[in-house]
Amino acid sequence: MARPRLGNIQVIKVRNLHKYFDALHVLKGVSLDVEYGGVLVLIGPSGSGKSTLLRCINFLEEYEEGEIYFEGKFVGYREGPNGRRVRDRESNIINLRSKMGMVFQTFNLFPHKTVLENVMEGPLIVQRLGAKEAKERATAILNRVGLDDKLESYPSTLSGGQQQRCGIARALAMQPKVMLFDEPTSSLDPELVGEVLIVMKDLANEGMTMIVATHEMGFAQEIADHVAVLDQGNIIEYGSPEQIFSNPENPRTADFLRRVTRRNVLDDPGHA
Amino acid sequence: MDYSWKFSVVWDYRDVFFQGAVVTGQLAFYSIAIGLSLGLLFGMARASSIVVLRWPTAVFIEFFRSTPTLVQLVWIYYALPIITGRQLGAMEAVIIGLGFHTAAYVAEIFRGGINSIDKGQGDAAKALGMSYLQSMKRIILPQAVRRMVPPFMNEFANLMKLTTLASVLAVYELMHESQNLISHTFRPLEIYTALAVGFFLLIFPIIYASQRLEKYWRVRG
Repeated sequence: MARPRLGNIQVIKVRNLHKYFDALHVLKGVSLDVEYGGVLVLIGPSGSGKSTLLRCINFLEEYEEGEIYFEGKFVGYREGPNGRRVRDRESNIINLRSKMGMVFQTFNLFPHKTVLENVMEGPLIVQRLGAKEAKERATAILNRVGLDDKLESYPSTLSGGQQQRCGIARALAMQPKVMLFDEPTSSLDPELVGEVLIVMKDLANEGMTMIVATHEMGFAQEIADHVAVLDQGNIIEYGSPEQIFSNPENPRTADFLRRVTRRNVLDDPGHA
Repeated sequence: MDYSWKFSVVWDYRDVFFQGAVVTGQLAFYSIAIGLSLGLLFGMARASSIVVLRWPTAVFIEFFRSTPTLVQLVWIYYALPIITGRQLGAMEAVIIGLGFHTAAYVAEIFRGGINSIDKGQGDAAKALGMSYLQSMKRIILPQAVRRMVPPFMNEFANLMKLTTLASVLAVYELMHESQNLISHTFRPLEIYTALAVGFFLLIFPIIYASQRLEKYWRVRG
């Protein structure tokens, strides 16, 4: 696959990450690296911690132990006066978040704004771009995801696939260094999944750094540089897609893949 | 019954009614202004994660929601000066009392409205890099306000009615003017009827406008 590379520079580094929701231990010491231009796909059963991991990376969730670094900067915390870490200044957290794009399973488009306004919002308000520039940038990106005829539509009038493409465009408009996809096709009707995956594949081929949590195994195999398998808050297997999908070492990985493939076959009678 | 109605009394004293309506309007206007601005702050404070903000506002809100408005007004007018050593005018006391009372309810409406917006909206705003205030102003409040309009209108209609309590502190609003008129003309039936109609004319347009607005938003989505 011909994809532009910037060498082995890590844009995201996660070390021994632990996350609790009260008594529930959701992430139990996760470590991983993503380099510039790399595509990491997270797979694993529901509740394995994929979403939580993504949400910790752009600090939508606080984490109790371990470190996340984005371009070498500690995410969310700084050293406190007594040597213990304290929550970082809000402006630093905001600055980090504005450099990462996030795409949600449930789209989370702003329902009171048009497609164009949704995509202009970040550049306009966070990056303080002029209205004309923001509009130009948003229009170009919406053109790229095939929504140029929907600029003035409200999200509620769009199909799920169109809404998610708008969600991707909204994140891209911030010109992020990395895109985080939290099960972007899981709430879509099967016939609408393809149009979203095509947009994501194009992004990957253009060299966008991506972390993608997904249940689309065929897609994962196609675009991933690396695949991490999460189970009960641990990465139980990590490697190239060829290795994970054709020759998994961990029996739990094999078991998970078997269950997912069977489900896909049942979903799609054309493959039966 | 052969009561002979004499509604001309009402017409004869229309100036008195008009003056009373102006005072009632002033009471409502200033109380709403205080109630809305304080209520917005308190609502955000109570919804926030900062304990030193959340706790005192919770006490304030629950205190004003759990005591009778009449007692609050009487307390502010007669009891507060004993502590502060400064006597408030009756009008001021009523405006402060009703303003705080409204703020307590408005704060709860704000909090409820903010909480009713899907958490994903705040997540999306944060993920773009918005600050708390930016996300409130641009994303959460514009959506929440639409849901707040019906309970707000309810609260305003209530407040209009509560202004009649000011008569207890001898503020010359509609109720007090009417009582004076009755002791002057001995025509309670006509005057209280006119009073009820007067309040209907003040309150119903608000309710009607809110219903129209809701309908408009429902269509526009």
